[in-house]
Amino acid sequence: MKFKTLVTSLGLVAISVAAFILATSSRAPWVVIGFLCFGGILFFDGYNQIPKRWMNIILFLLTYVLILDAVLEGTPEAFWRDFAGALFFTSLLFEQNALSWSGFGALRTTVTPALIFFMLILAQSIPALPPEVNYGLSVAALIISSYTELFCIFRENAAATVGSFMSALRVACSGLGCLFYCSVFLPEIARRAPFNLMYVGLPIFALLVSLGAVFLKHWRRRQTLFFCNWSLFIFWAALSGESFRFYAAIGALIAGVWTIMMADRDAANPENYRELYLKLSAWGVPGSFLFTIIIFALGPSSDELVRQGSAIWLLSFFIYWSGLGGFSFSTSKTPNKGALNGWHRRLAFVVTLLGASLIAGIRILPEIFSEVWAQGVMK
Amino acid sequence: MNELIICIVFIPFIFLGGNKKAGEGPLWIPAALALGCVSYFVWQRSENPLWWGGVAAFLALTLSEVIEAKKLKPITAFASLFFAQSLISRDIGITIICIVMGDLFLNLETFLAGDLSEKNRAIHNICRSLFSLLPASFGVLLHLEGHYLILALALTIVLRLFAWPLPHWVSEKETESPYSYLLAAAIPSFALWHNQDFSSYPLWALVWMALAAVLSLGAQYSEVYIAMGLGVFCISPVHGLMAIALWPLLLHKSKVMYLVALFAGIGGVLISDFSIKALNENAVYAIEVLSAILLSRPFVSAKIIVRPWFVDAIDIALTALLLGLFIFVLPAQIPVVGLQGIIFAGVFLISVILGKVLYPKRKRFFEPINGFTGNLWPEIKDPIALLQERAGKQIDLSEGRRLRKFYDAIESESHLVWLLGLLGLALAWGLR
Repeated sequence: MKFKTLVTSLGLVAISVAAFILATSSRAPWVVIGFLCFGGILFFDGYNQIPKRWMNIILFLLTYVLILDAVLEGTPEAFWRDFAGALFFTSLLFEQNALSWSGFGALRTTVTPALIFFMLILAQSIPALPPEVNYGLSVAALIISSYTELFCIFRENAAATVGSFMSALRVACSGLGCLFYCSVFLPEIARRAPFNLMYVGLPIFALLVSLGAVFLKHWRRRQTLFFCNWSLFIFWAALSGESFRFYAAIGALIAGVWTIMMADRDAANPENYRELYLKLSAWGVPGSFLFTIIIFALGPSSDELVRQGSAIWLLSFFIYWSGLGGFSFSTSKTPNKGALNGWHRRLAFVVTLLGASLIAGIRILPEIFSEVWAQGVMK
Repeated sequence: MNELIICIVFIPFIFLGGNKKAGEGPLWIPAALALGCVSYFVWQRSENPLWWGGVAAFLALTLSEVIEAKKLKPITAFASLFFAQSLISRDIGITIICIVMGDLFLNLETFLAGDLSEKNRAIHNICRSLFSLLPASFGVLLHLEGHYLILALALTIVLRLFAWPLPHWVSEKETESPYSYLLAAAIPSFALWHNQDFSSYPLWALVWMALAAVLSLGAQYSEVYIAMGLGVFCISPVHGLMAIALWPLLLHKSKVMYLVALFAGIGGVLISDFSIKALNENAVYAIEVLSAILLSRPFVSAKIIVRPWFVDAIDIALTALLLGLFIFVLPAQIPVVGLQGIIFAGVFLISVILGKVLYPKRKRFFEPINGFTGNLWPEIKDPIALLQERAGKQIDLSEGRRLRKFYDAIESESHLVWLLGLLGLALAWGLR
């Protein structure tokens, strides 16, 4: 296992270095963001899921290559192609590591959204397509990429994929794709009517998904939907066009990917405060890294629609948090396996704590925070 | 840079010391640092008493609690740090964030100190405290202004302040020594409210009085007093600031609570006298008479705890010191009381006196009405059919042997993965 981990790490570093050398100065930061996401996945893989099989290692590295390739491309067509490839490998990883399941295959496999994504990209290559339609197809593709896991949520053993490296990989690919697209290839029409209604439309969609999540009995399935919404949140923040919100979206991407890997899958144990803290942090409750990012991403805006979108996002997150209202610890004493008490956990704890402490800075240097918070208004 | 060092030093203590029992060990060091930080912020805001006045009252409250309990829970001290910062902040967004963090530490204290049911409650409280802050957060995010923003803030304050008709997330156990309650209710209420300019919105003074009167059917006297204090703040920030000087007297249900009743009466007089500017004169009389009767209820039915006179004297001394300080830095004009004020004062006084006489005989009249005790967050027992988590239909492979073999080969996970992988690569290649 250690050998496989070493090979994966070396592969990751070699690909990153190669991409960094090949990248122009404007694209180098994207390589760094990609490395932070994928490196985080490998670093916090406490269950050693990636080195479990050679196939996982190969697909993980191939996905990384494709997504880095996507952010180094010069044309939107090439970007979409590489992005689609990365998403496809991610969906393959879902199937590779899934426990057996029954039901109507096409509606329960993550390959379906990957194929729909492909079709939406292929449709963009139809000649003489108006830019509005082209943009609409791009948005649809990005939304599909954000909700890839929705397709496998009704499997018998869907819980096994929650908090898995595939889930983190999907958030990383989808987030990087959304951010890069919004930063480099976003057409001008995206900020004009009727497309500016997306500032409210996306949060409303997320709100409906979170309302749907209320009806799911298993918290792991709810969490799948939470992280699907988180991907859409990244897209929305990047789409708004405000620089501070875009940086918050980058933070949301990294925090989201890391947090998925940091939370363990054992039952909540009131005696183990650190695990409990990490578990709660995965829902973005106050005191977590995700909460800090939510605060920064929902900062004030001069755009009325973005403001309304922010309020809807807050409501959407609250619906997930309201699930804590019915929480209760199990009275049966389940012995802690201790599998995750190693350095992974300690590091995860420190990282989450530091992320949460960013907010604590507001009481130490309130003026600075006020300036950041008020940026949108001053614009 | 010095402030940053302070932050880096004390933040890890909060969590790393989480396994320590409350009040023990090195947690006292960051608690002292927290106090230092509060002092630093107060010094930074020293130019305007409206900004540091709340912190002064809060520190007096804390001092009273420390003298009474002879200990201060360190994690609660951290919660205090955030609440103190919320009092100093001038931006409602930042105030809300500070309150959220303060709530979090109060819940952490509950979690660490309690048994399994208390631990469950601490987790539930996260949700409930966030719920209380939703209206104000919407107000900030939507950039509401004027009456709309004030309404959003008032909704949040009502949700945080009143334990009736919906139960407050600070439990009844803690209300026996309601320091945690006052931290979670009084300070955030004042922090959210004192940032507003009410000179154009005189109606809100009356709204608070009416709310306090209606909710006094089940609320405690401290809740009613704080609501009245917010109403007085709408008339004059100076008087509002003086109203919070009485916070130390709200901590214990001792005989000094009649001083609170006295000040609640004075608050009512101010609001009654002022309300004629906002409402029709004839309507004012009816509202203030009814309010006076209702507001007297919590003061009459509060169960008095007998404390040694010198312990009560400490609270009175702290309050007197604060009042003196505020009067010294903010020379307040004594308002001229009109007919409305006299009527209110008369009815309030008579109600309290009558209530004290009648209470032992006719309890029902002055007894609080029970609030809602059910679960605020019911579990959904019958999910809609579409979202039911079911295994799904098994694929029927009962056709011929060869066909079954073919299906088996196709459905074999590893084969399927490779087939799909090849298809994906072919598609990727085709796009190129």
